[in-house]
Parts: sequence; C-alpha cells; structure tokens
Amino acid sequence: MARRRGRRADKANCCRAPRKAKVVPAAATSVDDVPDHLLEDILLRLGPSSACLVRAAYACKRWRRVVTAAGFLDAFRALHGAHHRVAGYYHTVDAYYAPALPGGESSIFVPSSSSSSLAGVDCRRWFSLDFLPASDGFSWELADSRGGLLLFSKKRRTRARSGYAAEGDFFTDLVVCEPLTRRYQGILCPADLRGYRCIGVFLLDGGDGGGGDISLSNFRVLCALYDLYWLNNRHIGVQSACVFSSGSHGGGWRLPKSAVADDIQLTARFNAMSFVGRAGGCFYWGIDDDDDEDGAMLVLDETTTEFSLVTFPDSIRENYHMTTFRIIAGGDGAMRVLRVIGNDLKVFMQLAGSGGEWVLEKLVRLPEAARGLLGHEERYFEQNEAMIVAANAEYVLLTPSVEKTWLFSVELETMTVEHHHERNKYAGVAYPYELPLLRALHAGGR
Amino acid sequence: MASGSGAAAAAADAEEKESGSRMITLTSNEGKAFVVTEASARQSATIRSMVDDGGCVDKGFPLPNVDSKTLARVIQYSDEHGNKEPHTVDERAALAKFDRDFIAELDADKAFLYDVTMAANYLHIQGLLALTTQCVADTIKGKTPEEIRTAFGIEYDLTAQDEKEIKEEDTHA
Repeated sequence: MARRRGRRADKANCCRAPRKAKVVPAAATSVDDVPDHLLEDILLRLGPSSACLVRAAYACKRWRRVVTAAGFLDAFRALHGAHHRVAGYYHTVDAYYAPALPGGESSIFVPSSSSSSLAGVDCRRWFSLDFLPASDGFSWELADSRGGLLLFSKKRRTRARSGYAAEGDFFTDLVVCEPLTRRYQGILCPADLRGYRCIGVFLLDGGDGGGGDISLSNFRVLCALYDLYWLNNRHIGVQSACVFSSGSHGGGWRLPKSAVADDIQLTARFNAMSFVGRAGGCFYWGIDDDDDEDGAMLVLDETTTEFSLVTFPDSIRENYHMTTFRIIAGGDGAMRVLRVIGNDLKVFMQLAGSGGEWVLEKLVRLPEAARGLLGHEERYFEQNEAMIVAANAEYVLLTPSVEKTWLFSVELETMTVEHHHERNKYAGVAYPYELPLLRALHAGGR
Repeated sequence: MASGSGAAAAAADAEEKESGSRMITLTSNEGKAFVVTEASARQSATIRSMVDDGGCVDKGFPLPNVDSKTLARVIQYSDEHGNKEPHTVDERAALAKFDRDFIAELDADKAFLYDVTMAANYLHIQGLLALTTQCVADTIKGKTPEEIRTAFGIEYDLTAQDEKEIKEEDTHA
C-alpha cells in the first residue's frame, strides 16, 4: 500500500504539471471547471440504472460528494423511478456435467430478463470479474453470492470438480468482491486451519445488526470445516465452523471453539458429504453412506454456527442421492425439499403448527412434461433418474442422467418445463446478483 | 368599433413582426459583437427576461462569462432553434438531425463541450443544456471508475481510508 501511494505521489509531483502545460492548452476547460450544480445535472442523467451512478461515485471525491449530497438520490429516483434490483445471475459450470466455460472463466453473467435497469448496458463487460487478483496456477471459483457481493475461493486451475466434496477441497484463501465497483477484499485462510477440509463457504449479512445492506464494509463469511484424524485406528471426522467479519473494529476471523459438537459422530468419508442447499438460516449436507441407516443430514445454523443432524421422513429421503435431492427457500421464504423420485420432480413442504408434517406440495412427471421439447428423446427418462444440477427459489435445473448436456428447467411457480432459456445453457449453480443499494454507498461516502 | 379593433390587431401584428425581425447584439468577453435575431436571442431565458423587462436592447448585451468561440457555437444552436419553428414531421426530423450533428461535433472536443455547457447554463438555454449534459452523461455510462478517471482526466484522489476499503487489503486474524 505504501508503495502504491508513493507511486501516485510521484506521478502527481513529476508528471502532472508538465503534462498539463505541454499537451493541453493553458485555457482548456476540464470537467473540474464545471460547477457542482451542473455536475449534478449530468450525474442525474445517468439513469435509469443506478449502476452507472454507483460507478461514477467512485471516480473521485468530488463526484462522490455530489452523488451522496442530500436530495440527490431523491431527485434521481424521482427522475428515473424505482429500479429492479436483481441484475441477473452468475452462472457456473459443474465439471461433472459439462466442460468448463470457454477461456477458463469460472462464471458467466447472464442479465435477468426482467431487469430493465440494465437496458443498454454491456453486461458481459460490465459485470466482468477481470479485476480479481491473478495468481499462477490458481483460479477463483465462485462459491456464493449475496446482495451485490460475490464470494470466491481459490482453487487449483486443473482440478475437476463434482458435487461431492473432494479430498482435495482444503480450506483456502477467499476473496469477496463487488463487481459493480470492481473492488475486492482478499481474506487469507488462518494458518492453523490450512489443513482442514472445507465443505462450504457462505456469504452472510454483516453483523452490525443495523439493518444495513450487505456491502464490502459490512459482511460476514461462514466457513464449514471438517477435520479428519485417527482415533483408535478409526478415521474420525469432526466438523467445525468459523466466521470472518468485515470491518476494522472487531473484524477478522472468529475461529472455531475447541471440542465443538463432539456428540456428532460423522462418517469418516468426508467425500460422501455433499451440500444440498440452504433455507431458514441453515445449511444442509446430504451424506451418502450405505452403512448409515438413519439417513441423517448435517445441518449448520448460521446464527449459532453450530452443527446438528436432522432426519427427514422416509417419503422425502427414500433413495437419497445427492443428484436427486435439494433444499431451497421457496418464494415465500419457507423451506422446500425438492426430490426426483421415479422421474417425478416432487416439491415437499412442512405444514405449520404442531407436528410440522411434511406434505407433497407440487409434482411434475418429467418424462411427459419434457416430451415435445426440442432435442428430447424417449430414452432420456427410460431407465435412470433425472439429475438436479441446481435449484433456487425460481427454478430447478435438471438433466437426464444418460445425456448430461440436454439441460432443462422447471419453473417452480408453475411447474412448467422448458429447454430453450439461456439459463439452461450452463450446467451448474447460478448465483443471483443484485445491484448494490445506494444506501450502502451513502454509508461509504461519509 | 370593428375597424378600430381591426386596426389595433394590425398594429399588434406589425409590432410582433417588427419584434420578430428586431436584431439584438450580444458581446463576448473579448468584446466581439454578434448580431442575432430576437427570436434566436430569446432561446436564452436570461436574455429573454432582460428584453421583456425593457432592457437596453439597442445597446446590446455584454456577456462577460462567454468567449467568442463559445458564443459563436451557442448562437449556431439558437439560430437553428429560434429562427425556424418546425411544423412538419420532416422539419422536426431535420432539427433532430441538426442536434445530433451539433452534439457529435462538440463531443469530439471535450474542453469546448464543457465551455458550451457552462454558457448554456449561464444563458439558460434549456434545450442546449439538456443536449450537452446528456452528452457528458453518456460518456460516463458503461465505464468503470478507472475508465471514468481516464476519460475525464480526473486525478485519483480517494483517501487512504477509501483506498483501504478498495484495494488489495489482505486481512486475517
């Protein structure tokens, strides 16, 4: 940092004055000569998307001051109306299903069709992640998104990836970034946790509790870790969680307490665990284990950062496999379990009230529903179960197991099946991305 | 009565004609005089109110904040918009084309664009101001903060505090 600042100082001292004197005529007017109220007029014309405005506010102090001045945002909203915040999805490709994206990119941004606020904006360029720090032999793999932030973990470039936690998935360095303003924060893995396996890293809202939006100065990262050791000639796995908080006061890593959740004896087969989803402030991992009769799942509570086990009713967990089981928070926020059983896509929900009985909420018969779609073949659903590639509140992305490149999706609201949508081009998790609220900018501008 | 009112109307008509063809002198800060039609000058709300207040039309209007080059360009705009009132679709299209060409030329010379913007602001020529400020805004659109700084020749002046937030700050416990 010191070096960086020094270089800038040099530039200011040595280059600035001569450059102005030589290249630009002495009387040439610059944007600095434009009075504040005119600059305000200009910046007000950046709408309707607030994306341009946020970027302009990071150009320099003066512009930032104009944008964050009292009344500016009200005027901007009055001129351009309320905008849609979900800008689109960063799509990833799971190497288990398809070859990597061209150019070795770990994700590709696809604007949401309903996002009018991005009209006329070149999204591919706009939401490019080329500002992330390069590191030889490693790439940044998208792990989570929340609000206007993305979370990446450092991965070896060559390694193939599947839904299972692979043996090589050690806890690594992380990066949190805000694509819109092209800013990022690197987070080094604590040295004493480097040997731990990592079964998931997640972005959470900041801990300041003030209801403020998630931003680079207000976020947390939750890491679900797993340590393997030998005890009495048995491989024992112990899971733990640690949290990183942003901010200079009280920020940094909070390491796992020792002897966390000793009562949970997990299979030593770390690679039998797979993340199946999040809902209601909890994260869930399914466990493929032939010996384990109870079919329990591992649950991590994001508030308490404690693990527990949960067992779903037989009707939900029958023939469990990671490719046919997902947990999502539905459009109403309540948890849903998605299953493919006998090539039916089933949506289960839990009734409110005592007992909390699980019931089948929706069902679509995939072989029938997919018939007639472009490229469909009868053999796709003849023998094996279709596989769930990814799921979110909006839709489920599936593929026949015999033809993993023929992706299709089911709209959860209507349970309609379709193949043509651009979201069906990428066989992997799609991370929603929202435009940062200008409120976050306000906080940063002070 | 009828003839009287007819005479009055004719007189008003004549006066309007006269005022329409009345010439007004605008003087740049370099002392150069520009003679324009009143209709052209009335594009400027500043001059319009001075004329309507019975200001010194004959003596002309000194514009101490506008240089000759800028004033000439502003008058080019005002003439086009003040002297012609577009009635047909074709005429409106021609005016729109004039605006496009006018701003495209200015866009190529940013320093001059700012000069014209500030003159339009000083003279309160709303159409011209909208045209120039939108042009600057369009230059900002689609650019990253770095690209904006380059395009506008803005020095990077964010504080160490901002920078701390922004740049590669590796943090760990």
